[in-house]
Amino acid sequence: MDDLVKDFLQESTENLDRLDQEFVQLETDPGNRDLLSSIFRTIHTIKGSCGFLGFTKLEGLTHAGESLLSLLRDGSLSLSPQMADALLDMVDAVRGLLDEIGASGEEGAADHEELVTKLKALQQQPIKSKDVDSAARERAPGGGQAVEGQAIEEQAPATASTRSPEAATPAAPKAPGKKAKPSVTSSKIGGALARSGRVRPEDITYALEMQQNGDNRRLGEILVALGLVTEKDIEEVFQSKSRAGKQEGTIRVDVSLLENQMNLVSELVLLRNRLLQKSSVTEDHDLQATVHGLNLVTSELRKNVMKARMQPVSQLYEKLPRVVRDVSKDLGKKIQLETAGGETELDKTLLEAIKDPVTHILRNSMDHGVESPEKRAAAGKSETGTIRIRAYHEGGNFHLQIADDGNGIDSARVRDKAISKGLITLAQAQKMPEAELQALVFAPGLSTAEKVTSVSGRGVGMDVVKTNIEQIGGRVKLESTRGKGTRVELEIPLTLATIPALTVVSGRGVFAIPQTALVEMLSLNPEESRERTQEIDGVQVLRFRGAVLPLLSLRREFCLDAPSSDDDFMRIVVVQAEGRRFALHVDLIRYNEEIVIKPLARFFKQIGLFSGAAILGDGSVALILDLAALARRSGMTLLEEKREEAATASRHSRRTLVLLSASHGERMAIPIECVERLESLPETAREMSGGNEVIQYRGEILRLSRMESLLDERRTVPRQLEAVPPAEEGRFAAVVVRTNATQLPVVMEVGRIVGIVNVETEKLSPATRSGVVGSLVIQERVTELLDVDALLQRALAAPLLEPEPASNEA
Amino acid sequence: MAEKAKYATFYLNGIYFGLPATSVQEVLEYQSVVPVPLAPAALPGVINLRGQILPVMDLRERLQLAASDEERSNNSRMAVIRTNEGPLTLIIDKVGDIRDVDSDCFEAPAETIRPNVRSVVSHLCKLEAQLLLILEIDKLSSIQVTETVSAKTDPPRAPESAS
Repeated sequence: MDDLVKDFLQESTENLDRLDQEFVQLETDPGNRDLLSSIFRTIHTIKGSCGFLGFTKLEGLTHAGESLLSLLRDGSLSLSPQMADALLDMVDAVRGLLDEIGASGEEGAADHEELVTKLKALQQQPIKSKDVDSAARERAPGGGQAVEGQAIEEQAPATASTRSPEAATPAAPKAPGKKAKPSVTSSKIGGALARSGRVRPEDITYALEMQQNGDNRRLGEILVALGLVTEKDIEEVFQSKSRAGKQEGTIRVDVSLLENQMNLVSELVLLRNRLLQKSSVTEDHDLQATVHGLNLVTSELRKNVMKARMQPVSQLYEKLPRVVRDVSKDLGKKIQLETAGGETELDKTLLEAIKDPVTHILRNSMDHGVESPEKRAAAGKSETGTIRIRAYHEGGNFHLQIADDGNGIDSARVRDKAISKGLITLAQAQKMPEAELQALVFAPGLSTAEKVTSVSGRGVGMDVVKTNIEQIGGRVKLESTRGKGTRVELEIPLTLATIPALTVVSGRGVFAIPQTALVEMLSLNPEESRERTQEIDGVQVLRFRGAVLPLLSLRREFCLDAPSSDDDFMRIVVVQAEGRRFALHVDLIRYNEEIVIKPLARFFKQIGLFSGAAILGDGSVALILDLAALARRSGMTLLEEKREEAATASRHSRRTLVLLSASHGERMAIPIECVERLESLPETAREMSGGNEVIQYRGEILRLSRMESLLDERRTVPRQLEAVPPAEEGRFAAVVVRTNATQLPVVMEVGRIVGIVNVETEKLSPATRSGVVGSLVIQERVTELLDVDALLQRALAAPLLEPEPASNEA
Repeated sequence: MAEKAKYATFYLNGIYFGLPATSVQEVLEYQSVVPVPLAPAALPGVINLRGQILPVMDLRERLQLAASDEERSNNSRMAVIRTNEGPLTLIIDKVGDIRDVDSDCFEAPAETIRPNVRSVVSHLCKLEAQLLLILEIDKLSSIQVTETVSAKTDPPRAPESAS
């Protein structure tokens, strides 16, 4: 495409974004000449360029809009809602045409005749703006536009619409067509002072007249002498003028060029690191000094290149008022948007990536959050709802808060909905704290809107928001108070160029684990590793903070060579992927470092275990582990699949179960995700408290229940049989069980722990008693799958006399 | 009309191979390959070429040629070629000349050539002294890697019958 057209498109698109905002602002302040002039100029520029480039449709459309705008600007007409709608329609149509030109180079077949007619008809409305403040008419137009450094267009006569494009750009100020009075803007400082609102335009005109009448003093001096303005005012205005002047020195740069630059700088940083390592062992002081210099320059360069990619979040803000206007009109609500921290900067690609999620959250707040004016009035709130968006930097991250003063999240409704959609069970819901219930709005398939609107309520959205934000390494938090409002907070890393990661060694390979997935690192001596790891039926588990985590050996997973570790320590990294914790056994834990992520060739991506490669500080290559894939490969159930299971009432798919035998030999099974620990406890651990059997367990007093006592008696089973002798004299086997629904775990005494199996649970036969989900054949024996939620509820039915707050983390 | 085209040639296991010269980006000294676990033998790993992570293809494995007597030594070279899938590094034994080849002397690969080799050879060239096998790059790089994540069908370690 023609470079000229490309430039035109880019410039126009940027201008249009600003237009949206200005129009919305104009609706609240219809008499604002500065705004009108600015809008007029933008449209005028587009019209001029497309006339030049031969886009006749676009020219016709913008011409109609421009004519209407010029009448508005001159005060011959005042802005009506119909006009605002028509003008916004025009902006949309222009945008459509520009997109079409961008895609095909042609204007396309879209016809905007109707809109043009409408715009023309609106110009015919009776003049009714005689009451417009005449002083405002004299104010210099285009206050906010000094940034662009272009010549401020003079107050155009009412016939501006008929002027040719060339006539619109003269830089030399023309005197207004009134008397021979000097124009406010014929003096630079005068214009600036008037725009800053420090002096009335009439006063400047008066001072200019004094100059004309032979006063040799400078304008500022006259104004000060007249006591109309202080010297400080003038100084400030001068400063802001020179600041504006400095911004002229900008050029447009292709984003891909910046990307490329960033990559090269990343390479440079790595090379520098190697050089630094090498030079640290040399005796050559000259070389050392040179490397030191290089070091400083490289760091500075990197900072600068990163900075070049940073964009103020105000770019995002610009698009929002239009969204709020349109949506609140659709919904019949009164909503005002307040934004703060627009100068906060974020990497361009990240800013692009949060655009849709933020818009979605905003729509959501408007639809679900802010109530209708009637409801608000009834609740004693002002009829106009407020949505506040605030951006700031904290802890090396970018934060964006979107808060409304609406009705908050109705957690009861969220709960009912989640249950009806099968996302959680009733028992789970009853035990869920408020915050967790509210967080369910991020679960896929959930929408609490009573009716589906064009805005939201289709049940897709908030989960997509969460996924999108997490994809760029960010996090979403939600806080809601019933009746007061909801606040969603996004936390985004400042840049994607490098990420902090932990590097580990297994076999000959170096692997990187993204910091965000890291929970803890452990180094166990031989005794500890015996104590804390266990192999049950070929499945290795690690006891970690009261939980039993699956333990994967990287060496075994990757079929790597024999260990090279020179001591007996067992090195373990506890990680978290898709809400599930597990442990990785590695040969060596290296260190935390910033890594530059590089894409991996298709061949290696297809293996499905590596999300990319990274070049480390010493120039070597590490593969970045895809932990979720690794976990899935090892047969672990991750959160997403668990949800699926819940939705399908866990009727199919494989599950990992802990096999138990009751004290009379009956086989039982518990899903492994409910089991915190498998224990062999001494008989002496049994204690009585408040008529219940309890044990002390990691600083907590836990209820001890026999598995049989939690199940309904079945008379056919002779209870007096004690077929299974205890595995160890003086000890008994117990399972520490916990689910999401209960705060405290329960210790369940069992006959014996048989093992862990991974089985197909599809062929579940119906339960014959409560407390049991159903039964299935495992290892040629009928095994009852326990309903853990129900069991725990029974176990905790009578409250303990001395309840200890749960401090255990799951 | 016979057309002349330039081919970059190299040796592997004593066989004379050629690649369209325009598809060869550069030839490197042999550098150690960072292994990628669970990758097929024909694709042992990656190298870091000036900050780009390139996949390495062990051509000998790819063509299922017998391991040569001389272990991969300092004499081995790496050829970076351009493919549809992006750059790919081939491990080769020895670099040959750039040769002008007449399209006249092209022949279809003979039936006698082993299938593994034939499947990636587009033409045979009978030169005065020897036979040149022209490799077809897109076939070379169209290697399928099976995904290893298939927990639902084949859980690695959860025997059901053990007790």
